[in-house]
Amino acid sequence: MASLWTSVPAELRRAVLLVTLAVALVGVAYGVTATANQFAVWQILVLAVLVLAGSAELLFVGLIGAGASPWLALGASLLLNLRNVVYGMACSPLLPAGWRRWAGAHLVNDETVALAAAPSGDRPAELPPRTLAQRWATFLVSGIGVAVGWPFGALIGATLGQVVPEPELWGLDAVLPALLGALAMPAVRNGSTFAVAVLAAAIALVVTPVVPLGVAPIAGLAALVVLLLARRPGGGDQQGGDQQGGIAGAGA
Amino acid sequence: MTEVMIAVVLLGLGTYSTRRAGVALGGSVTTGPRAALAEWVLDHAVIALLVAVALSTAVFDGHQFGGWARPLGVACALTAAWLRAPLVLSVLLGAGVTALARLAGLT
Repeated sequence: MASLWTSVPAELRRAVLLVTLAVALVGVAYGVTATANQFAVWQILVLAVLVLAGSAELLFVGLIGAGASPWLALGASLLLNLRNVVYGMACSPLLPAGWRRWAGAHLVNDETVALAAAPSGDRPAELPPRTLAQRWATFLVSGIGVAVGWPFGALIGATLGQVVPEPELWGLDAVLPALLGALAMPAVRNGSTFAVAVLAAAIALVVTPVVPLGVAPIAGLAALVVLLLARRPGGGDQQGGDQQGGIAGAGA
Repeated sequence: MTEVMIAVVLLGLGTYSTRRAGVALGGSVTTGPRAALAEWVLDHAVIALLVAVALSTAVFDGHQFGGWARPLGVACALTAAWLRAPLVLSVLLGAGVTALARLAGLT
């Protein structure tokens, strides 16, 4: 375990710990919400361990609490989790073969992908590129952090839920969007990712009220199609060059 | 409640399947002849998804607008992150501003 920890790049270690903490905080909010929606503690924990996908679980307990049928809640949460297919693809090169690939797949989520697999943005040039072993260690350690922190926070929230019925009073409902947005921020500085991020955000905001619950982020992927079409006239240079420089006209 | 638990188990299985399917698909995409394009698409797709989930959870409760306090808090968090504030500061700022805004009477 100690050698696994030292394999995580030094500049990422604090972020990994903080993500664990933030995920536990969101877990508290989820535990409180689920308790308010008549879920028993054991059900909250089963959901947390088995699904291990924060936003989908919040959506699930929220819909059930609002009186929706379990099947509608299931469908909406699965739609929201469809983005894991893309995350899984991004993490695929990091996962070793064999049982660790099967077990590691369960740890694919917003936070682990943002830390280990997302483009890292403008890192100081003197740092060497991260090796596969370093990225796997980052993925595994943050994945374990999420897998432990999430149910742990949920347990605290479920206990607390009897006492403090409103996580909103503490702004706990803002932790998840703040965390995900802040994790994406380093990569967003680069020109083409900035354009995609702004476009995806705009699409998600416009369509959320009118599409089935869970679909909006996937609709945001249309931003990529727009950008891919926009870059076509510029020539077929699909090499690493525009990873740094961004592409001309992407912001149009 | 039995129905709910069946849905919970199916949600667990379904969610794992989406992850595992992605891992399986990614292996072939990231090593093929068009790997550079696939990598470009994946990098940008990840960012698009993170930002879209962040924004829609910041602004909406389900289909409805969720009030101004949370988007205000999240906007502060994102501004801090943009200005290279440490992650912990950005997240706490997001929660803190949201809580204060509600305390001040913003819904």
